[in-house]
Amino acid sequence: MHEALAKSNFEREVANLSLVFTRCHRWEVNSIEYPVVDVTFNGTRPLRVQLTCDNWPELPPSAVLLMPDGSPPVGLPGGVFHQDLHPATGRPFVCMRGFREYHTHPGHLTDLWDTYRAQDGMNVAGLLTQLCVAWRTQVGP
Amino acid sequence: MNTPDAHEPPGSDSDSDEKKSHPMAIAVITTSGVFPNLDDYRRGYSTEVVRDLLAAAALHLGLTNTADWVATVGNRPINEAETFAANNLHGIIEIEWHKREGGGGA
Repeated sequence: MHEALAKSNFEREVANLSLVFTRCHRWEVNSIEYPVVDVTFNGTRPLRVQLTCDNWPELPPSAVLLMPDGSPPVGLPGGVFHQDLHPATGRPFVCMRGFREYHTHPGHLTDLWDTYRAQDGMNVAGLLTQLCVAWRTQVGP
Repeated sequence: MNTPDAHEPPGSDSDSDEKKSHPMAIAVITTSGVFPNLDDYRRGYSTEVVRDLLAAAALHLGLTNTADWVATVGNRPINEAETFAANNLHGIIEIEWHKREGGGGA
């Protein structure tokens, strides 16, 4: 995808992360700079997520899980939050449809991003919301 | 957000207290935008069915496939088939509405 188009797509996506939206979800936006959205889900146990959206929406976004201070995550709760290392990135990862680490994991190579990417709610804000709900379900609100 | 002027709809004072329609101010906050907009709430009534308001939000925001979406208020799931009153929702509320999260596991 042409870089300018990818950046335009990214800008349109992050426009959904309005102050009203992030306040309602109790998120802190650390930074938004193409192609990365860096947010912290506040709550009982905060989680920081750096979402790289290069070539959006041709590629699903790649999520890096972090502690709020930016250090590597410890004690991920399981479910879609894997403490073990992804074979391609060598990092703990999110294993949920819509995220690059899921679609590139050897166990899910046949479950294609193209199946999901046009669905309502599978945009950048939607994927972050799903991740946040999964996190708070696991660790508390 | 600005709240709308509150007033009772016609005929509401003849109902029992439980069924009386009380004015509300409602916003629907989705992953594709906010209904009615970023600055206002929509006037609604406690006897309205939640699903009807969500349908209006979907139309406004261009959402066409929300069959697997969930609506919550303050982390509490609400029943879209019921009225706001039946969901114990009154006054000024913000509904979070989004696609249900996917399962996982590698």
